[in-house]
Amino acid sequence: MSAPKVGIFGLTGCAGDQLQILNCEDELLRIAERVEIVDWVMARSQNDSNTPLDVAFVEGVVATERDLAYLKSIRARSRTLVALGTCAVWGGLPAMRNELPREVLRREVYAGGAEFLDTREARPATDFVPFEFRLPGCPIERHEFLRLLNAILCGGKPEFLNVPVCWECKTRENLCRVVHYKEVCCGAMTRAGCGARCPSHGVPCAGCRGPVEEPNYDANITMFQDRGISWVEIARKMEAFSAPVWMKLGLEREHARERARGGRS
Amino acid sequence: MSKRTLSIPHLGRVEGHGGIYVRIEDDEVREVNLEVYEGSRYYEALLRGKHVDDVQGIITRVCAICSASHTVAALMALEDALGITVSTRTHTLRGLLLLGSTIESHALHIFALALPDFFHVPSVLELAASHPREVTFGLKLKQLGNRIQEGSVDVPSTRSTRASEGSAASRTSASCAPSGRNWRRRSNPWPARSS
Ligand code: SF4
Ligand code: SF4
Repeated sequence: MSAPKVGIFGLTGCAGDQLQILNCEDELLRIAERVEIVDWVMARSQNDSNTPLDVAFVEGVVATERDLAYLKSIRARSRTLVALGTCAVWGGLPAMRNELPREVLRREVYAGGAEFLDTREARPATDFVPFEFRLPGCPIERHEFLRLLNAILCGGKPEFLNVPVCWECKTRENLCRVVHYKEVCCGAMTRAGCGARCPSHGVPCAGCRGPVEEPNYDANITMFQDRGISWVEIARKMEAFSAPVWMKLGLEREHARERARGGRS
Repeated sequence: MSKRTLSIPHLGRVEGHGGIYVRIEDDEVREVNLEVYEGSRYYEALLRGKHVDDVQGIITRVCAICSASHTVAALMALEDALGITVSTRTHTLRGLLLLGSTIESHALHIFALALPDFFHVPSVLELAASHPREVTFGLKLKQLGNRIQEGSVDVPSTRSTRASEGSAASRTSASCAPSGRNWRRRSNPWPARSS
């Protein structure tokens, strides 16, 4: 049996998730023994952009018409499609201000120039085509990637923690950023897997891994309000990563309420 | 008259998306078109209305390979605007971070992105088959750069297990932050060092 054919692709993004694959320095050569990477523009030349793929990894948001066509062509030739990173799964930072028309953003950055830009509202790749697996993280965690790849190659499903960052934070015995420092920490609503990296370094979680399954908003609002932190403050913080999904989940309402009161939006 | 064209629709082994088209007539290059089809993310505009505390975390995601440079540049700009002078220790730690980034990205560039061209192979993986020792060395060097940036460089006397053998939690536990946690107090975020 020949090795499974693999493709690794980047849409619009920082290439961080692809870099995390290259950052598996100890495992990279062993990965190459088990799969045949035939299309990886970031790390290969002479790429084969037509062969059907057993597994394809896609990173980034769809932010151009070209991205969309590329994504559809990847889907069409892949048996198993994996979304890598928060951008691909939830929209990530590029989707942070989707309420603003691209035209406004373009003018702000390029003034009158750059009319030729191929640009469209940044949306997660998972909005456009079905994906078999989604691996969030900004960037993805190497150990999770390796576990996922291994599971796919064995024909199984990987087991990932389905708990919030707080769970890992507590196991590391950090002092809570909310309870002890009255900071806005997104840990209680964000999917674990990062080892609570930020709170363990004395910085509140920014929610870079996107929401945990069924986040408990009511309990969170109470937890923050009890400490004099307004829900709008946490909304502002959570707006950075995975904004589209938080918005769908009710933050938009809170924002509108704040705007009606004349606050900063 | 001899005419030739060179067309690479998707440039490989570079970070970013682009294609190149070259038209050659009589051994003379007549036309070069470099097309960059990188999607716009408009980071500058996204920063509007953000708290200063959140700027670095956003800006560092501009580019994965040079995330450390973006981090330090953003912090320096903010400090400049707010009139903050950092301690020598902070300055030195940032220098270390940048050096780690340089080691990592240069090793990546040399071994994974550039060298395959000189050996006429498509990628570092094929290169590893013919030159396993050199590639392994390159990857180790790259890893060292990453470990410096992550603050997880092995110090044999204090850490006996190799970082890569532990879980994500243990990999990040040897942190640069003094005592690893809670060193930053919200109540006085900008201490008396302000100039
Ligand atoms: S610091 Fe953040 S992640 Fe840790 S327990 Fe508190 S809310 Fe949860
Ligand atoms: S603690 Fe939060 S912001 Fe930090 S890496 Fe984990 S999920 Fe991302």
